Amino acid sequence: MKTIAVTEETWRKLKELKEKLDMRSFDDLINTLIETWNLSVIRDTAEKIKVSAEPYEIVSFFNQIRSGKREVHGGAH
Amino acid sequence: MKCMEEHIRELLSSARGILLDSSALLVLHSDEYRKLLPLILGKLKAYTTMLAVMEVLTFIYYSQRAGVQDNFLDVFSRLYELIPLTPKLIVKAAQLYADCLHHNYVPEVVDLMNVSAALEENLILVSASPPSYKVYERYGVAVISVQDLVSILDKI
Repeated sequence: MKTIAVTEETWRKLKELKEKLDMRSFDDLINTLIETWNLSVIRDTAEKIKVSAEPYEIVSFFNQIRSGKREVHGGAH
Repeated sequence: MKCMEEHIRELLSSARGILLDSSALLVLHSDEYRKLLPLILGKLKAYTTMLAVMEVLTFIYYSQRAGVQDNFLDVFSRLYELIPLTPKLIVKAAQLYADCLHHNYVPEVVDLMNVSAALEENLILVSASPPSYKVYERYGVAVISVQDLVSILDKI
């Protein structure tokens, strides 16, 4: 096990959060915080690429270009 | 149904992660599925090939139904591990291509690259159109649908 140093204020906040989240240990708490942060970053990043098409339209698009059909429906041109 | 879920779970636990093809990537970024992405990417390491990325961009440019930002590739690489066209991958794809030709089948290059990458990297291939990969089953590639992936999310 490794030891980390935190300020009194941080220690108070960590203890409060541990109790609030009903965590068994500070190790569990820190891992939960890391996991939550990772999910939050993924959520924000995923929102940067939005595709406003229905799944069936996407599948249909690739089926049509793979079958060699030149006229693909749903295009803007 | 339970048997199928069990099978998919076993596949996922024996693999290094998932490889998303272009149809899967676009479906997962659609309004219907985007909210599930953090759950998927929080649990599984997701890869994609550069050729699949090219297809994603092709769909976006063609349909103009998604916002393309200047930093698209940067954003994409923060979500997925991008697999480049390495010499090893090219050789594998060429071997499969030749074998397909021996079976009187002319493969789709991007699909073939996805299959080759999945086999080389020990990944489960995820597609919105798994029947497209039926012909490659003989090479041992495991393919599941986006729906299959979503259905077992809470069990992995």
